[in-house]
Amino acid sequence: VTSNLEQGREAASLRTSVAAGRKWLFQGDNDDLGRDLRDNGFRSALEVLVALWICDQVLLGRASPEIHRHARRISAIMANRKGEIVRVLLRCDAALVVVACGILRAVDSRSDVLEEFCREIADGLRLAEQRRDAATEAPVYLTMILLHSLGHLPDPGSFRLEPAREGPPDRPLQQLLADDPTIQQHLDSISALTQLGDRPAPNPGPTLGLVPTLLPIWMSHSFRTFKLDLGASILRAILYLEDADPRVIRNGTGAILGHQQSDGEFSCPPGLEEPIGVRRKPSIGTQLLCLWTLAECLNPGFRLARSVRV
Amino acid sequence: MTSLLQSGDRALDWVAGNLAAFDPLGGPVSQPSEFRIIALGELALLSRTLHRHRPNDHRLERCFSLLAATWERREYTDWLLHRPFLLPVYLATWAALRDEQGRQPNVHAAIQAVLADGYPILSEQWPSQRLELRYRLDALGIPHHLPSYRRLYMETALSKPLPTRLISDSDSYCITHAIFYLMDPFFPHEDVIPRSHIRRIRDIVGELLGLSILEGNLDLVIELLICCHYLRWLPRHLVDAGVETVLEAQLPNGRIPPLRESASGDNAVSAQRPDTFSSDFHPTLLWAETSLLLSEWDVPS
Repeated sequence: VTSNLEQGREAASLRTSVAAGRKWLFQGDNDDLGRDLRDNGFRSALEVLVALWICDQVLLGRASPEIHRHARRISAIMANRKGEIVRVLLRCDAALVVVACGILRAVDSRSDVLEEFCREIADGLRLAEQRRDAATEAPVYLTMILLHSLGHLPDPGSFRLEPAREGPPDRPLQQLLADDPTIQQHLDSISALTQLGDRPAPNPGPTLGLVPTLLPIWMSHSFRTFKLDLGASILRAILYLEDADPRVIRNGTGAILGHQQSDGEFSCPPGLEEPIGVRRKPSIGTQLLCLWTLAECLNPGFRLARSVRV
Repeated sequence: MTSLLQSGDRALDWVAGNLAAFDPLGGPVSQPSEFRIIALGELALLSRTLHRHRPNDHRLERCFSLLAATWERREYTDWLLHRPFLLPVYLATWAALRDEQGRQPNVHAAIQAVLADGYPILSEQWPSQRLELRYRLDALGIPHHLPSYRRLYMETALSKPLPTRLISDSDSYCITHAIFYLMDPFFPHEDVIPRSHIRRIRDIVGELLGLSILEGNLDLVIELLICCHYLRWLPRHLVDAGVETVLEAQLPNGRIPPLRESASGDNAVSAQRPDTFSSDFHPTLLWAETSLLLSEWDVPS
């Protein structure tokens, strides 16, 4: 799929889009890391770091001067404001923190604060694993895989998807009508089974049931209902499964490209309930998700998880 | 399967109980109702299909009686001369009477006059409408100068890899109807669609079926279920989900609303809503046919 894309004008469109999305990361307040650490400021700084890394890897094949500069600023802020930053990190998605830690290493801006934080996450997970008799949940497993990539944990082995414990499996209609959190759980499972697209899903048919066949429907429905984050995440999950249909991939990338504004931001039109003329607050998380998905569609050799491995 | 057949039977009961509403000349004025002419055409299509499976069903006999009686009325046949764009509907009705009742209706002259005038062929139409016109003329052996099926197919949305997320309801109906005309088991033109297109068409039909279920568009759900049957393709989970969606939405009197009102969270709304023939006749007619087709597949219900 992606090698075909690489050859054509679709690849050129994706490349242009990623470049514009990267440029947007530097605009306005997003570049001012120290402005507001109480809210999402520092988390956004980490998201910008990851997004920049992704763009640099697929556009340049190396780390740019901009990401070096950004990484140095992040390391400096963490060193100077450790207590405050740790409180922010505690509210962040663990996988984001671990990936950021790996990127800082890769650009020679290793942060002792972040390394220590990751070690503590690893210790906590190790203890929890010793006490636990149930299978690991997918998001936790993904964090373990990333920590293993950085050498903080031993190889957790393959992900084991637990079948539903009680009752018969849902009927097809119930499965199709899954709500967003349930769909997100399926996406997490696919990410865990494939280690974020780094390896083929082991025998995905029986393991995932109807989910692979429902993904294209959920993706189109997400884009039709202006759920850009969910649609982009579903597209990435489709990419991680084998035999992805190029038509489906084009359907998804077309939707993401269609939601890119002239300044490079990926965003849906304002909701109907919002007053005319009021622009919603830019979401760096949405920008990161869209760039991540487009990058992995564009470049078959790039997988975020693989790119930060030591 | 039993409840699927029972459900279709209830839908046919509703149709038979509302035949008066299909009569184009049943209104207070002598001028035929265009809407009812179209509804009568849909009734003809259903009667034709069901009659082959249920030749002795008294409800279908009543449908054919209405069709035949209407064809005898000058007000009805002459109306075609004033509204030539209705030609495919008249052709469908004629075909049902000819094929299932052995009748030779007297409207042939009006049809020839409309064709000689050229309006139905020369006027601007959606590609799927031109495909329908050719399909209906060919089914009756009426000569014409329309392009080949392959050429007409290549103009339709069905032949193109449309992004599923953007396909509107209107485009969805163009797709389902093109499948009806090209893959009708009674009058198939399977060689028209390149083999390499078939998989894509099936995938798009499957995705549209899933989207229609999610969006509660029962009318499209039923049309797409028929498409699966015509494409000889059984995406079991989606067909099961579609059937369950329709069965859940069907009202006790057999009527199928076009949209799943329970999607808004209130099942009681549908039950209390007064019969709205104009919106409900189409999905109900279609379901009477579809349930029978699906029961041949042994789809559980």
